Amino acid sequence: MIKRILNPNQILSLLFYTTVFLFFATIYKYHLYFKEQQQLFLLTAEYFVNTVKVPGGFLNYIGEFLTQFYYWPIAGAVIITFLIFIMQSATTKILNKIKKNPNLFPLSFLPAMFYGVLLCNDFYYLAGLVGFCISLWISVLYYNLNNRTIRFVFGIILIPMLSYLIGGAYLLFVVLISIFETIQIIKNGSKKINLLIIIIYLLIAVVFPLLLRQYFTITILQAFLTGAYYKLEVVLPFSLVLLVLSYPSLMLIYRYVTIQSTEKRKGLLIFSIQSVIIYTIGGIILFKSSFWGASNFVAYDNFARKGEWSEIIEMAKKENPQDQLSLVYLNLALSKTGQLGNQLFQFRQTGTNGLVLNDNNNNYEPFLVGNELYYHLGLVNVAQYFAFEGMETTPDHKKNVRCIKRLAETNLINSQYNVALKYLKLLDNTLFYSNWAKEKMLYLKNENKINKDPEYGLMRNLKPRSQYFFTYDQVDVILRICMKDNPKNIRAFEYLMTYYLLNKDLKSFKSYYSLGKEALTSNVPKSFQEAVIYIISHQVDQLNSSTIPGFVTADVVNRLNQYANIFTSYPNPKDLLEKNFKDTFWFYFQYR
Amino acid sequence: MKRINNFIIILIVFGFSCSNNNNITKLDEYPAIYPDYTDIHIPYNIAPLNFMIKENCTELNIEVSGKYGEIKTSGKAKVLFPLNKFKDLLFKHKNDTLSVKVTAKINNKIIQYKSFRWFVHEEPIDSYLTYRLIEPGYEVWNKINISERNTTNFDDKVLADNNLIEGSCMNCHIGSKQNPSKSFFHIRGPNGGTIVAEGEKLRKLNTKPVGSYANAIYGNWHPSGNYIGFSTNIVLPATHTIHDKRVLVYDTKSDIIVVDLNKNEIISSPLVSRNDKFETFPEFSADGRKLIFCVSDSVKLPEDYKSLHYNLCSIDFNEKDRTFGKQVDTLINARVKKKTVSEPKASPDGKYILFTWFNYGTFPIWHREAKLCTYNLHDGSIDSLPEVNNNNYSNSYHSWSSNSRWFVFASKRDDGLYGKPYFSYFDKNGKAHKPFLLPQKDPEFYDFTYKSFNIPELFEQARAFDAMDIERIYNDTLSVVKLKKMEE
Repeated sequence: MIKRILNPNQILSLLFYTTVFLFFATIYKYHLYFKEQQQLFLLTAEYFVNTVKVPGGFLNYIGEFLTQFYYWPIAGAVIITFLIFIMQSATTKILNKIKKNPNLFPLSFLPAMFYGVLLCNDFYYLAGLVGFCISLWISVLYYNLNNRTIRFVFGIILIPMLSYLIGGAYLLFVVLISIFETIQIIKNGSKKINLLIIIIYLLIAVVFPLLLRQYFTITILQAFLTGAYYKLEVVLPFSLVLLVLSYPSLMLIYRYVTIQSTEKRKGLLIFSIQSVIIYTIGGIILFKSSFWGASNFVAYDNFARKGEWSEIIEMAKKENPQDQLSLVYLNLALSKTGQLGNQLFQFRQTGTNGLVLNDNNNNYEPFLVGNELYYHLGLVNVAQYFAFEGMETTPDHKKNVRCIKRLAETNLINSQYNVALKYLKLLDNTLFYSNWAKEKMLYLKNENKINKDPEYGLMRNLKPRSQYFFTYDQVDVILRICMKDNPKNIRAFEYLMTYYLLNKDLKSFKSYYSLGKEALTSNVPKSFQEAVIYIISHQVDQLNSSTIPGFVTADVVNRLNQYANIFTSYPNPKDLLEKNFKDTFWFYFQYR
Repeated sequence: MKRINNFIIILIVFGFSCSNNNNITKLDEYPAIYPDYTDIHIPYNIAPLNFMIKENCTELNIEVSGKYGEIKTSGKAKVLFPLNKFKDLLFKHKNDTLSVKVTAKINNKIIQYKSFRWFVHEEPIDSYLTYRLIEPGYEVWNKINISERNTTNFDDKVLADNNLIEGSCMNCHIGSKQNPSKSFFHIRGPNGGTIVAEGEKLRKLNTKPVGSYANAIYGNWHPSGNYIGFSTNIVLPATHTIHDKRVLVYDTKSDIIVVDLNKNEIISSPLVSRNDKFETFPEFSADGRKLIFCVSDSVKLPEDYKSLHYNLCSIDFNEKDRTFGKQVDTLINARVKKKTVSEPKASPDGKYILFTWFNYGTFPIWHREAKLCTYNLHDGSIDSLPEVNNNNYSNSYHSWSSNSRWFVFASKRDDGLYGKPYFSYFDKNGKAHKPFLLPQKDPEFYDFTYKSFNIPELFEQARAFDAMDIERIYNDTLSVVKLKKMEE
């Protein structure tokens, strides 16, 4: 049935686009959330004018407009799939203009697929894909113009126009139309005029962006590429150069490689082999790329942003966090669900850097993590610091929804209403955060409403009252002050004790354990019991009812005895202990 | 076309006025306009003072009138005065007063407010204002530029943009009041240096000779234009964890040097570079014979940050033989009052020092209590400038106009975070008057600006360089002039 309805090209297309859609809608959806949070698209006339007036701004505006719909990953997947389809179909049309070569149809997917892979890198904008689509379709238009004069006029108008509006992809247009004119030279022999046309095109293509530098404070690279393609504006992404160069290469293949098969089956086989090769290449590039490694982190980050703590724990149960930032989120999730002291060593811990952040944080992500961590610890000013610095460290130097929302919140909690209003006004002009902003505006200058709010009220209660400064290497000191200011702050106490456990600092654990006497209203967490009994076991000759504190359960005591037996009975007990006791503080203390 | 436009405006105004005459509510209070331009002293050459009413205003009708003319204009919630008419009206009313009548439709009620006044002064304000636009962050920065704004209209240009210089930090663009073509600022980063502009001529100085612990930071020109006094500071920020306090910026070491621009040498004195003291913010008196600076005892930091109290001091400076005096005089002993002084700026007429006064430390912008004060060099009196400081936010980064009748400063009074340039009239009797915000073409501009106007500085002349020139000198690694440090 399918065979009768669909030809091989259509089957390949169907398979390809279904794969693309499913990939972005499912496997890659957390990245889409992450990207959406990294921009702030405003629906105001001023934002439109300010964005569009700079080179490449038009394309940026379209890209940001579309990217905001990543808010719903399904919509994001539809947009990406559609754009990839647009790019591939234009590529097909251009290649067919060189020579109709139906057996090489799978090759037409290569550039679009390549861009799809690039979009998995957070540094590449969706706008770039739009830019290439525009450039390709305008090239198709050019290819369809038979009159040389009209083509020339079209070319000399469109090169600067595209350069200004869509930036870097205009170079693809210049390459494609220059190739077209070269073909005309070969075909028609009218060398001089066509050669002159090509030279004029190239001249405009080089001079126009340089002229833009007279009016905008942009570098030479930015004048040619603009900021619509790659977040780091000081870097020329080699992938984009490769993408542009792929077109002349494909044209050459289309022109000179002929796969003719009179046998239908043989033709289908060649077609299938090409398809498989292209799929495989795409898959390998994607999964071998460094950015793939960030997949888990963005998922953790998404759950943390939404406060879906159980999701984080469930995810970690399937696979232990592979990086320290994800581990910070996991430990925060454990704390938020009241399980930090009990479940801490159920997961592989790597030291205090997996609990709080170290100061090696020059990238954007650690600031996001710090923002969430310290916010939930009640250190509102520190969270504000991380949110603000997070905004300043974004690779493209743009404001983003994520940090602006948090800054609005910290300023509300700190009663800095005018600043909060400034941020809320921004969010009020977005498509998806306007309602949130309007709701938060009701909190402005309404102390009572803030105090009664379950989250903001709690934050105000947890805020330290003593004057001190935040430093990465003195988090324990800050947590101790938090405890001093608010002895019932159980989260601060758990973090403080966990900090000492992960730091294997039993002396401090012992010294400051009493800080938690008001905070610990229920059972003492398992890991803390393990640490206490471990300390006592090294202080007394024998563990018995008079030396074991009442809060240490019999199960913990029994397990310590078993642990000690194995430890003393085997010359190399690590493997055996790991099998049975890797979820204990004792194993972490001795072997991690 | 112009006639038709005028006709339409008249129709609107007339229609608006007529149709609502019977329903006008008169209030004996000033309208809540933004920026607050009620009862202010302005120079005759200032750009149009466009303003708006933020709360639920749907129609606005304005009459600015004086003895020699008037302007009537209207808008929805904003007033945008025609540039030429506005300037003409102000010019005609030098040393006179203009009355501004505001009638607004708010929540469907037409309200006529009590008229407020603009006192127009014949002393012009310097025509150019430069400032650094930067997010009021903690330690990290991204986009920074130094811009120049024409105060008599709305033209502006970018003087330096860190987008063109590898994202490097730029700071402290300071001019010489007596030599209006001269200014300097610092560019950090691998190819950075102190850029000294003398007209179109740009020089890049390396102010950190071998053995020095820091580059030049805060500085001011000697009136001769031959020297710049700098402090070399190791500056550290610390993030506060409580309340609305954000950052404490402090120096762990600082000394004062003077750069001889003709000989490319650094000179100093043991009296301004003591190990047991922090010396900073050098400034020269208007006659160039005194080097004024702030000095504090060195304390353990950040632990004892609240003990950092800087006094205002001075030492003789002889320009001809490049020598310093033998003793340091204390002008203001802030330490005994448990206060601190920073950023002294001598008025070009030689009569006053404008400085920032706050509780402790050296860096005022994060101190809500930071106020501007003047020190009278004739009688040693201090004026707390109540008209200027009537708010609970930091007022700092001040600069005199070349005629000493105006000064500009950065104030966080609007929201507590974003610094904006305010101008104040400083009359011949030494009284500073209610400040007004730098006018913008669109009065809503500041609501959607997420940068602070850092170190506003007034200039009589436009700068002769632009961002491309700065890009060129930054990239020219061979052009840097290494200063030689002379023995003290």
